[in-house]
Amino acid sequence: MPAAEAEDDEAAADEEKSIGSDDGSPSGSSRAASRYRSRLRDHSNGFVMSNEDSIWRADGPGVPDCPDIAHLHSTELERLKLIVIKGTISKPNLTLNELRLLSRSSEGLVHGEFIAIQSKYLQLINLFIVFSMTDKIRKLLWPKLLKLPEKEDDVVESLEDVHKLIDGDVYYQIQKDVARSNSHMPEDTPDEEMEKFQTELTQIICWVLSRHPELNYYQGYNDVAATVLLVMGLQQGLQVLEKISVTFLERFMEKTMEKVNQELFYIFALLDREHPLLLEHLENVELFPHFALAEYTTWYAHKYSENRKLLHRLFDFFLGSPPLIPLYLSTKIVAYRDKEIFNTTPDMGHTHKVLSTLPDDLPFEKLLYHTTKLYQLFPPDSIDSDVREFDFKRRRKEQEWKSRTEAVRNERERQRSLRVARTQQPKIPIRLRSYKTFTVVTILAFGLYAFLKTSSGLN
Amino acid sequence: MSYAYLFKYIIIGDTGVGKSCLLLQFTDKRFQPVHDLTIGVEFGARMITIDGKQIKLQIWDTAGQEAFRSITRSYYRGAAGALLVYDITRRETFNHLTTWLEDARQHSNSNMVIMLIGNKSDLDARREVKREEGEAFAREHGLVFMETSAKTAANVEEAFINTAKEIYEKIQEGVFDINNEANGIKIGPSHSPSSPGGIAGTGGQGSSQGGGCC
Repeated sequence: MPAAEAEDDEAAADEEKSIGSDDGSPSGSSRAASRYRSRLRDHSNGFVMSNEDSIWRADGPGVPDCPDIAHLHSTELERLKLIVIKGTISKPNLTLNELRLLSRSSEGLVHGEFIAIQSKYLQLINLFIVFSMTDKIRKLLWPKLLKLPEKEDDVVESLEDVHKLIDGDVYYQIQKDVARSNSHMPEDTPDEEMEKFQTELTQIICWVLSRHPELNYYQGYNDVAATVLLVMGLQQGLQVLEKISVTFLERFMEKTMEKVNQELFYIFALLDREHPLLLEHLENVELFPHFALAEYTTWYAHKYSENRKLLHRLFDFFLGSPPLIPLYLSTKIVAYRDKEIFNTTPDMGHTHKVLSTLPDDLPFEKLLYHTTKLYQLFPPDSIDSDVREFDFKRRRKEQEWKSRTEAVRNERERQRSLRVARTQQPKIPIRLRSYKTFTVVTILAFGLYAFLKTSSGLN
Repeated sequence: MSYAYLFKYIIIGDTGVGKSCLLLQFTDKRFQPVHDLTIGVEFGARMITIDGKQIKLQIWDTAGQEAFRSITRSYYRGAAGALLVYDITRRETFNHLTTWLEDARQHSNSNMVIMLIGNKSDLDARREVKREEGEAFAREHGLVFMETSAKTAANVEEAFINTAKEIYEKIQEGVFDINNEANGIKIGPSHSPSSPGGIAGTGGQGSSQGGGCC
């Protein structure tokens, strides 16, 4: 396995030298190529960031640039990982950029160690040990990736009461969602342990929300929180989840998902360059990019809650990348699945279903590698206007639809009132009443006349 | 598989009332005690028979959380039927019905058939909303009403099928303009002699790429 992965890495490195065509999918148009060339001129090395990702530029003067690292051969990368892992994590000259590169590179923060263990002990090490060891390393490195200050051993107290600081309805919602988060734990987890997990998950979520009233809880946040909790533990997880929330997830934590609704169109704007034929197909079936909503808002923690190894590796990648990168990964996955999509019943529903159900065997390492490349080619600011255009089209369609239904509704109302007016006319109750009165009066008068007549006759 | 008509549904209602479980019970005939929460929208489809005609139901299941409303609203468009679901063991889910109904009426076509569903009827011991209250609400707002249990499957088939019957009747009465796709109804390929793909393939899609089942 590691050998195959190493080969994959080599292949990827070779491919980097001849960027242009991407994993077999029809490469972008000539427009894309020229954009790429101009990009290449502007940013000949390093990771290209957009204005929106300014936090990723704000490394500050304390963290020196290391342009060379972007061109390290994969084996050198692995060596670097080993250095990091072999107890030199606090190596003073390891820059944040180096760390981010490691987290994005093949197998994230654990591959080097994996190889080391494999070669040393090979069959002696069972998977569980490898698994828990790697998360141990993440526990040290995730806070660093998030630029959190060195941990002082102060413990956050009274977490059991922290829920009192947030809105009752929100707390109720969190409890409901936490109860539905058990898929993050193995199936045979004892009740006691499951209960502890649920309690801590509720606490970690409530703690972050209590400190940030501007952040609104959304369904799916529980999945991100569960992932952080399981890697970091409760006390260390608090700061990590808080930093992830304010740095990456804040866009999902506005009052509504309107912003996300727009951002999802990055996938379409990117497909327009990556795979225009596929985009045409998706637009023909009138698909919205909502199939990627859960991937984007939970960093795949909703889909892959049961596959910790993959999920944690994806978190390595996202923590070392700009906030919009999950949309680039979604694009790569959609393009990769093009045949499957073309073979699906060509309508919105079935296409949505296929795209929102992710297979378990996606070649993620390769996809992540190409995701970074795609970001370098088309950073967000280079496609922003297209994204707005897609979103504008959506709004316009919805507006048209709204006015059409309103027109139909008004027309129905008009018809109904006309019908009511028409049915009211023939009733004419007064006439009817006067007719009756007339009859009664006539009969009475006739009777009186007859009575008088007879009585006068009698007399 | 060919069909005479295709009806589009949307399932709405508060989070945790059992919308996804109703769909799963209807499409797969199974129940998941702890169902994953729905983020955004999910989709399911099934074929039913009414009046000897094959009818394909395409159902959009939506997230109940308020935050997702800006996303789920897009799916009212082109829905011929809606299942508005509340949980009989949680009073607040019943209290929110008016808001849901307003939202539905505002964003859907005016002919949409709405079925009010009081779900979790198997939990009668924990009941907070009387059946009569559901009936009264439905009467007042011109909805069809039914209590269901996604767990025991009680009334689940009926809920989806009766909604389809209502839509079918409306078609027979000429209330629905079946040529306007925005009404959430399509005529199946077998019923559309003029064009081989019918209007089933949206946006001029060729049917040659079609695969999979319903």
